Amino acid sequence: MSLIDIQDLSLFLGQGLRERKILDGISFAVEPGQTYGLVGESGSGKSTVLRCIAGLYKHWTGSITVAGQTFRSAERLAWCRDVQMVFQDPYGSLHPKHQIEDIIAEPLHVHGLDAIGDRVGKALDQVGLPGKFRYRYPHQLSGGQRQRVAIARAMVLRPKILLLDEPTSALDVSIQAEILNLFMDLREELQLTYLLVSHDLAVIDHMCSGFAVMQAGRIVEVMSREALENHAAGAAYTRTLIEASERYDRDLALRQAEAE
Amino acid sequence: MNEPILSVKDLNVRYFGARGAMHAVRNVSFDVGKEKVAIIGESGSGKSTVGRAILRLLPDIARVEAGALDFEGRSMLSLSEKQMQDMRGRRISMILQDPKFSLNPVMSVGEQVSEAYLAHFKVSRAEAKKRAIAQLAAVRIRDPEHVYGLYPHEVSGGMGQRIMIAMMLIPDPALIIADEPTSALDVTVRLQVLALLDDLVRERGIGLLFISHDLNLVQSFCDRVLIMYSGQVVEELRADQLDRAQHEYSQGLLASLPRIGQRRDRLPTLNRRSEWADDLARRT
Amino acid sequence: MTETGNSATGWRDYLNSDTVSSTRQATAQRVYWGLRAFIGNPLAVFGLVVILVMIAAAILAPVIATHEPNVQDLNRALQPPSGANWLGTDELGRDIYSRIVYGSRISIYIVILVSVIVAPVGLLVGMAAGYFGGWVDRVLMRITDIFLSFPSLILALAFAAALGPGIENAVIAISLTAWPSIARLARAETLTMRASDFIAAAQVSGASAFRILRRHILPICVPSVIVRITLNMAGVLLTAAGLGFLGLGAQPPTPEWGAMTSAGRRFMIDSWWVVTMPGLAILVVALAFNLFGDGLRDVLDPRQSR
Repeated sequence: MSLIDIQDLSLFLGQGLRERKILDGISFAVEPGQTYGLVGESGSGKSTVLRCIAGLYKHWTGSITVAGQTFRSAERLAWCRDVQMVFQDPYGSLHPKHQIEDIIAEPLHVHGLDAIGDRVGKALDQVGLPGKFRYRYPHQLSGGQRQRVAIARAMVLRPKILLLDEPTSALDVSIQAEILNLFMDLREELQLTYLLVSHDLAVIDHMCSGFAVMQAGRIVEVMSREALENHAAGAAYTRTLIEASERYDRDLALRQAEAE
Repeated sequence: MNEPILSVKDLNVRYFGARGAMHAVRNVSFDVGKEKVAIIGESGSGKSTVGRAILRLLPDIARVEAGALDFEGRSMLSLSEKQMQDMRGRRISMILQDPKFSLNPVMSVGEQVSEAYLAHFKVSRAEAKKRAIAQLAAVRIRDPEHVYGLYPHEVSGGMGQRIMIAMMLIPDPALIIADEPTSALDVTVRLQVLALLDDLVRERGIGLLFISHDLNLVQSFCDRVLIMYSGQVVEELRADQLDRAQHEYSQGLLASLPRIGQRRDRLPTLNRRSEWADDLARRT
Repeated sequence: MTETGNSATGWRDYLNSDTVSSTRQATAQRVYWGLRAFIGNPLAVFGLVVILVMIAAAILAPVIATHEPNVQDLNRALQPPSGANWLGTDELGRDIYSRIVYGSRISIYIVILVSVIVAPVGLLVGMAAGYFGGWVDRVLMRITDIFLSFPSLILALAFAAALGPGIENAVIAISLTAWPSIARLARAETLTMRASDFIAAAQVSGASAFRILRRHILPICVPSVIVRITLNMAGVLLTAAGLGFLGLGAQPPTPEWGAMTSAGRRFMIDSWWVVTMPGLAILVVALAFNLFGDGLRDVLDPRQSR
């Protein structure tokens, strides 16, 4: 059975005349232990899917099922223990006035867990941060270190699923490599399942066995990693996306301008 | 051999902040001819500082020194602030990362392009508007008369960046400094903006200094690449030879980049060495 | 720190060190750097000193006053400043210096009481409106607008006239007009934060709305509210003095500064000190609160400073 099962997910945002359909009948499934990707350009709705699963939007229609339990029937705290999220911007996702220790401990307090000091220490250790960071504030850390803190916070509840929303796109390439490696290690160590949103096909190819290509709130195509590597895209949009992200190509640009 | 448009020798930038001095750019030298030259590096490498130092756009706490800073054969070091102002925009233009922050939100985009022309040439408003519309058409904006009257919030990111480019080009500069001009754009839009810059270099013989963190892009787009690390140029090479970079830092950077079809369990990470910075300091 | 001679350097290391080993050290470092920034602003330090002097005067009033504030001595009425009466005497022969010293108690009492009422109410209303949005926001903000549209002195006048003059009623009247600006500030702060990822992260962790407001939003709102309240204190002081001047605040013989200037205005031509001395006290303290508030803003809320 699939660990994550999304059926016909639709979402409207805005009110009255400015109401717009953000998601339009999204369906896909993710197996346990898999890393599944969502690719698309800005405004495609890929991050919104994650926000729906995380419970940040609640007025969607359709169904979201995690480990056999639907979102609507699940208890909120139980859902949160299974599903955690890492955000794109490591500068905006940590509370500026909380110490690193408090940031990681916060979910533990919310869920009323014990041995908080030990769990925080272990989480720091798992994401490769030395203990001396414990009493620092976010502004004293680099972007990569902050993202490690955000990962530690997401992991400290021992979730089954991590939702990753462009987790490395604000980071330098060498830092991105470290964070992607960390994700790989954690997946092994904790039997995690990832749902990874990215605009970068190379990152998706590196991390995911399969992925969905999104455009304007819809899934245009579902591809496997092999299909991506063989350039076996079915939809024209996906082909352009792949070619445009691999390198600059003057002819492709001219062709695309013609087609518009 | 074509004459360089811009020639920089031994550029040094030091910041004197509240917490002591910082040597942000160290002995950087390079030329830009009628070509696309990239400066790549990670955040904090000093790549953006180089572009801003050339245009004297750094804050007061920065001190810029250079052995030579020649533009079209003339030294820029001796220019007064007034002459420099004329140089900026008129002969050297700068394109920034996010058009949203660079455009005036309460003025139509067309008027902003006109203004850019009027700032440097004494012509009538009607003439400036004609030039502006022609320029909007030149950056491949369809229906430029309509777009002329739109406000910044009514245009998309890619369109905004094209308008910025139109604005920068209208006084007919000889050099464009583009600081991460496409990193806020989607890949398909990015392609169009790059093609536009490409045409300018090919057709108008403009020099392009392209500041970026995107190795992949630079490799296929630019002619030459300078790789910066901690304020210094560690290596300079032809863009199509980027894969054959010699310096350990360049190699590490290239290796850490995930690529489609290159399956690796782990990405090699960069082991930053303090010698890199010291070595170069001694060498120069 | 094994050697006592090194304790000064030990402290400096403790406060500057990059390796922070406890929550206490982290807090100490923050306070230390904040203090250093504050001391760099001489006007703010002047403001703080004046406020501290005033607080000291209020506490030690019986010790530093030279006379009983309410004891009349008609033989010594309207004496100019002298060795016996440092700031002169009023029309009933009371020592003005002593009355100003005792009057500081009343000023501080009013300022503290207003702050204690206004800060929690403003924070609560503003944070709730900003966080929940929708109809909660609309209702709370319209109520705020209503209170904001009353001119504060006029409302206070009406209130004092209805409930009868007195310090407590003056405090209630001033509080009624002072909380809306705090609520607006807290709402604006909350709105900018509501869309941020750290609030989303707290929601994803399962935290309740109450917990998010208390643990995540409050700590960011409090500094700017403290700054605003400090800056408001000057206005509160002036309104209180104004009410006293009009006879609707503190009642005679209470040595309230506003009431003192009011009583003295009949003798202004011949005995300038009766009005000038309490007037100067109001001026200096109001100025001190403004300067202190400005300095505090630079330390606590760097975004808002020039």
